Amino acid sequence: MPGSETVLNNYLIVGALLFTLGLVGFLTRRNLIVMFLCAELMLQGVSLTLVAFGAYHGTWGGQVFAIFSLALAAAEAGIALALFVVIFKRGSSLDISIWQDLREADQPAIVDEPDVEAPPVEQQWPHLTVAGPLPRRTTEPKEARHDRPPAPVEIVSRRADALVNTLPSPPRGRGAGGEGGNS
Amino acid sequence: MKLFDWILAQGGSSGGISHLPPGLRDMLEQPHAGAILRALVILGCGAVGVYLMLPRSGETDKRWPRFLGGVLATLALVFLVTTPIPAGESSIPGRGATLLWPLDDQSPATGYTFFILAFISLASAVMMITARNPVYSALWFALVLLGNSGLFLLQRADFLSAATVIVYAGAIVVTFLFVIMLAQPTGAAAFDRRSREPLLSTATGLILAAVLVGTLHYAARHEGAGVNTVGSHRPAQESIDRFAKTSKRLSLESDPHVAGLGKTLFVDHVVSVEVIGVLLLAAVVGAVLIAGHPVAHEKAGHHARQ
Amino acid sequence: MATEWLARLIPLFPLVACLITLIFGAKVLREKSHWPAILGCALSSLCSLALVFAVRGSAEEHPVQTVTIYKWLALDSVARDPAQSPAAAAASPATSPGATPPIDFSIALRVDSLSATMLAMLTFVATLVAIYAAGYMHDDRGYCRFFTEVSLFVFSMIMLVLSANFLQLYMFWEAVGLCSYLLIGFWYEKPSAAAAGKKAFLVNRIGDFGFAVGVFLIWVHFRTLDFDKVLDRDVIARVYQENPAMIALICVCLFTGAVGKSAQFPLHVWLPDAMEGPTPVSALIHAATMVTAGVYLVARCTPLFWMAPEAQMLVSFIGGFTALLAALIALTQTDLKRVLAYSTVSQLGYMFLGLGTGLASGIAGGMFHLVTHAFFKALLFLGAGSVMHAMGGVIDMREFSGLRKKMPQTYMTFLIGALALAGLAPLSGFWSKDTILSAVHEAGHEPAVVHHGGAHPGEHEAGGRALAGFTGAEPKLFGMTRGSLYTLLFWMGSFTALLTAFYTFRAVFMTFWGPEKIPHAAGHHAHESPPVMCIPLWILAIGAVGLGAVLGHPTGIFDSFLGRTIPQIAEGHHGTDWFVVILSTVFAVAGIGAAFVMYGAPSSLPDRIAAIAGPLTALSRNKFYLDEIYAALFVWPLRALASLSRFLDWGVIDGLLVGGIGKLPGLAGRLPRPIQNGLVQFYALAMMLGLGVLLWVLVIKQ
Repeated sequence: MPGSETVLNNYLIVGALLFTLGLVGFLTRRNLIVMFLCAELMLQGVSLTLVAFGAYHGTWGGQVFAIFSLALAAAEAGIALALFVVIFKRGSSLDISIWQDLREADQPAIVDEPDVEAPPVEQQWPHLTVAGPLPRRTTEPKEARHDRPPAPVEIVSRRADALVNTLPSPPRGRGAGGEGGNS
Repeated sequence: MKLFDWILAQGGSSGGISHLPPGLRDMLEQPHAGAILRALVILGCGAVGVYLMLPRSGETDKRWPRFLGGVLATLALVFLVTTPIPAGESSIPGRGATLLWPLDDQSPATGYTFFILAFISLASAVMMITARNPVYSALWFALVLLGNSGLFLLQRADFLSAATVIVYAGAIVVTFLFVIMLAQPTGAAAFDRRSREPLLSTATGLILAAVLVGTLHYAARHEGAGVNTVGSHRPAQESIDRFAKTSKRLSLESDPHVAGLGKTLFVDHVVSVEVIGVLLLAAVVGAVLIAGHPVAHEKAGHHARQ
Repeated sequence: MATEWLARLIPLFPLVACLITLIFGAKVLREKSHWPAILGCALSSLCSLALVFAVRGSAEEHPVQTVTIYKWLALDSVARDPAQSPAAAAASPATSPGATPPIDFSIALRVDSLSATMLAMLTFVATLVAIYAAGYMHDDRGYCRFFTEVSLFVFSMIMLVLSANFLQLYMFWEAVGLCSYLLIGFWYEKPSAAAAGKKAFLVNRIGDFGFAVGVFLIWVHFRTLDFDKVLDRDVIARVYQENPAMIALICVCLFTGAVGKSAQFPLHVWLPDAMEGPTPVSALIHAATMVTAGVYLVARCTPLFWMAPEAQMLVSFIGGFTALLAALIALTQTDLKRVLAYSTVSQLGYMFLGLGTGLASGIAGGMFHLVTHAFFKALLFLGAGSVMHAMGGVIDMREFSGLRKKMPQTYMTFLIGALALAGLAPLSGFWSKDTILSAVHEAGHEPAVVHHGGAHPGEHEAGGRALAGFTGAEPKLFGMTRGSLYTLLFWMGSFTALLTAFYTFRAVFMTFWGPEKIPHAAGHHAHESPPVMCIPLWILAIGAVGLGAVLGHPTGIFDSFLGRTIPQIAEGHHGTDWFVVILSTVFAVAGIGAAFVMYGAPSSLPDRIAAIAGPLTALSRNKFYLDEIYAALFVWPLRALASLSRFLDWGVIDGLLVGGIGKLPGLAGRLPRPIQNGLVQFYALAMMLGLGVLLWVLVIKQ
């Protein structure tokens, strides 16, 4: 006593479309986890087909097979997720493109074209309007800079120098610079 | 709809297509050319939609292809139900008016429920494979499972429906989410925002879907032709019937559902159950071994350093 | 019976010694490895002496005893039909050329006075050299290897001498060549030693090829290889009647082998290089024993050579020419061992000169010179080794001088050896060399001597061609008649005697006279050698002094003993040729005197003479450029051919044909290889496309 062919046909079409969608996802997506989800989606399509056939024929077989596929999916998920964890621990990305080791030895690895990123947005930092007069720039003779302290202190000294230079009194010379460097 | 009519008209009259190459003309002069064409157009519409929805690089701020793809995919789902497929001379009268047949022999509630659930499943599947963020993918997959479990319920597979929700949606998907959170806590990565060969993959999907649907259509035609007819094109029919006779009948009235399933599982398929149980156990041990070993190693190294 | 057992025991001792050293040498015996070799050689030597007396005391007139150890190769049982005597079998039409000859080879020992003489000399010298080597080779890394190889050599040489057929002779001929190769290249880390070994082996191959062809020809024409049958006068006469030229051809082929092994003119180049081996090896193998195998072969085949006067003249000519050439080269060599090596080549040439005369006295003289030469040349080499030992490996005579104070015993023995080599009156070298020169002198006056034997054993007629069918014209070689050739050779030989005395004493004076000079390499080694090395020197020196007078002309013991095998020797004893005696003595004294004048004290005289001689000196010093000529004529063309062959093999056949065809599947595989790109999704894609096509074909396109 077979069931309704109409019902069977519809379920089969839905199952086939689910399977196809899972396939497309599996083929296009690069994330290992998403790919695995897509494989599960394909399994769902198959399960739906099995159940529909079982209902059409009025037997338990379809459901039993669907249960088996469910158990299989669970086992598969356990292993796959363990593998993902290992991959994560190795510090690798989940990108499938990294795993091309099984290619022929003399074949170059397929490298994706770099992302066409949108140009970075210029950060607009808020800035204060200048208050008071602009600092006057003083030009020092080059040899005067030879007695500067070495690099790490130089930042300090330069900053101090800038401070000194901003001061209005010009006749401060080398002694003041040395002092500023030591401060 | 006018387009399909026009195509149908063209398919009907050989004069309009006489300028086409002979091979194509022969194809179009087949009795089901119109039906095939329409089915292809529906599926192609869905494929284009999926193609547009798939993530691809360089579309950081352009969102219109996604929306357009979503519209096209939805349209294709609607077409599945609404677009009339011309009935050939051998098809069963009253059936096959659309790709998804109207469930005239069921109660209207059942029919609507099926369409809604199928729509949910397929739409969620589309969203799942096109989501940029794997977390969303997992969530959409959970929705697919919910829809599927509803479909199972409609097919009198109560236990399986519950198991799907509990085991799949409740356990596996949640585990997936855990792993996603663990391995990719930042959400969408760069490689999630681009697809590999989207056009080729979608084309492959289209071909596969077309062949599958075509197979179903072909089978349905010959189903109609083969019923009570000598020379049926279904040589497996007899063996299926024989199997159906000897197998246990599925009867909600006589047998409580879970009891019948349990009998089938543990009487008819007891070996398979055992095997699948061992398989699960091996998978669990393997998973522990795979995921746990490097940790132990690291700990040992840590202790050694101390 | 006693003879038979002695013959079996003589090769057995060295073989056992060889096996013992081979098995236990490296692990058990270590620095005692010399004992098996010394004991084996000594026991062999005792047995050989016993054998000599056994042969001498035997009642028969011509005692030839063949001891068959085992049948080695026996095919076609017809061969063992006792009804057919070998000669008859050979003559019968059933075994005429074209029919398959019966093959019947055995490993057999042929004992007669010739082999007994060789054995006594060989084992005695080998014993002394083994004792000497125990001192000389001490602390060498290959100590046990050395004695293993020496034992193997002694065994092979004994078997060579005792061979009863040409095949066995050829086998052990090759075996001694192998031992020679191994021992020349004993210090194989030294590239020059390895190259010298290779050179000796390759040069010997040329001679051995001729020898092998000779053996083949004997097989084809005599149908047997046994000495008993081949050297039988009737058989030779029959073959000679069939094909007179064939005997001469066989003789020339056999002589080619002798030329290679005994380092005669065209193939002499390996022997001086062979001095790269340890000095005891030079003394034993490359002076006393192995190099005389060629002489032994020619002496053994005397009945054949008698039937081929042209071949005899060739033997004499090559011998005389080589003697002169090697003596000329030896004049200017500064390496002590090389002087001795060229002297060896020269003396071997003397032996061939004597053998080639075909006269009984010539053959006896050649063999006698072989024996005496073995003693004094071994003595000289061991003395040179003693010097080398003391000088820390330095052998260039310009590096040292005036050693007679430091090494009195070595000096005395070396002087005795040098006097013997120079051929001064009472010493052994005088008697043997005098015999040879007398024979050559005699041959220059007698038109031709053909010993055909046959029905008249012992017959030898001057110019008589008693043999039927021997109607050939007067034998000529290079357009020279026999008389003129031997006259020329006589003067060449005499002049060589002068040169011999000169270069020998040049070496003595340069080494032991003059101011004392010791090279740095000597270090604390510069002292007299230990007794284990000096005692053999003295024993050999006694032999070098007394052997000639005791066995030679004054008593005639050697002639009568050898005459038991070659009867003509015993009968054809002539009086002393006083002309030759006086001439050679004068030449020897003149040579020594000249050497004393030039090298007795340091002077510029040698340099001035060398400057006057100019190109001649260069010619001698560079060995007449023979090595270079050979390299240009043979080595380089062959190398070019080898590289061409290598190119053809590796480039064309291996690279293009084999490799090219092998590359085709690889090239075909290059096409689908990009499909295997390692991406899972790509594989899935291909799978799904395949599935779609499959469904299409199966379901829809029925």
